[in-house]
Amino acid sequence: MTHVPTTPHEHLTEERLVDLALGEAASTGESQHLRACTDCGPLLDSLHRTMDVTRESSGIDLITPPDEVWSRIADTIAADEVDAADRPRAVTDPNVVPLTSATGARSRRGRRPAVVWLAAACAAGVLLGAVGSVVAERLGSSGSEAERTVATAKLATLDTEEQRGSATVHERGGRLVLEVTAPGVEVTDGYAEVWLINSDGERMVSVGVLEDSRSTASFPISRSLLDNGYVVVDISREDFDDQPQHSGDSFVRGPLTQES
Amino acid sequence: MEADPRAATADDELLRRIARADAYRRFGPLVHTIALRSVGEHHDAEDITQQVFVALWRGRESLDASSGSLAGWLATVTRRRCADHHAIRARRTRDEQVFSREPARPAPDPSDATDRVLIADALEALGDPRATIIRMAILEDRRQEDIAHTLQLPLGTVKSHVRRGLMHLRSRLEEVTA
Repeated sequence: MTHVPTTPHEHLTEERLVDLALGEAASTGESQHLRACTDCGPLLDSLHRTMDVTRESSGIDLITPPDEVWSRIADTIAADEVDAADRPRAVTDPNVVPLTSATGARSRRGRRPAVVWLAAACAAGVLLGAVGSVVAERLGSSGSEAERTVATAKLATLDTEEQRGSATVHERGGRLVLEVTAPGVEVTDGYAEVWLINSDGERMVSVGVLEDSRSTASFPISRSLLDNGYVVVDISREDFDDQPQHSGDSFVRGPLTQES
Repeated sequence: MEADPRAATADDELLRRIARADAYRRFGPLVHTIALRSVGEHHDAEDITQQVFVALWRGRESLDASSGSLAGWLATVTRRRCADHHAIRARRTRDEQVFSREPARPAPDPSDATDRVLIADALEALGDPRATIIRMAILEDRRQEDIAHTLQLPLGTVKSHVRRGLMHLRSRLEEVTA
């Protein structure tokens, strides 16, 4: 191992580093220190970089966005606030729970939707639908069995809560269909899978693969799923692998709320 | 029914509205210019500007004031939105190429002007005489003694402005992440 001769132990002052960045020559001792010191060396490098970027920025004029951009921002924010203030309690208590959170016992909050759904089912006098039933043939088959919207969900990203899609549960001829459209979801690799997550945040069922997020996809679901609290719609990013469970990587998610 | 929460928080609300409009007035050009230079199209840049400020408002409680300046946060979010925009556009282009069976061309590199726009904005915000002194020292490459002489200021004052100005610009740059 070579002995490093007389490297100054003292750090360079900020003043000195700025002078060096501006082009003054470093002494031998300073050069040695700059090579060895993990504080001073990188700081001088970052000052050089700052000066480079400053030079490159000299031709840039800042452009004020047109007025309507602010109007759109203000409208969106105002809509958020109206939403937040007018939302009924059941929805203000979101049923969305992170998948990773271990909610041991089911909370009262977790049970409520099942009761609501059961009541809705009784009121409508409907039978339990069967999973996997073909729905398309029933479409428009009878005037007395008109389509009814049962519930809707706004599908938003988990981090920025940006709405990127929506989901609707329709009732057609006594059967339930979950319709999902998520034009804001871009699947760059793998595929998108649609899930109903239980309000306990632990259980979930896959209802199908979303083939094209830009068009509306229909998935037959059973009434019992809703009755049992599977009321959060989730679209996950899945790889083509041998793991059928949820990847843990959700594009968007949103709780179904009842249509009044 | 509980009291109208909107009435109870009217004052807070007013303050927040003012803060929001101020943040937009101050940093709207920063965000918009980064977006314009990156995506190159007015309509898309306006969409990105809108998204960034709505995200700022929705994420206001998760913003950590100690982690850096608002300018750094906004520039980082804008850069990411632009990158998303480019990724989507590149994917569409690739799809079109796949289906038209034309040889795939690499997507053009999006020009990322985030750092430069951020510095242009921060330099402007330094105010005078600091901004002028920094411009003379860096853009015109003039010696500090020369600047002091030209502006009729003590050398110590000029050096102090250069040091503080440069350190300030440096910390703005450090706040922006990929």
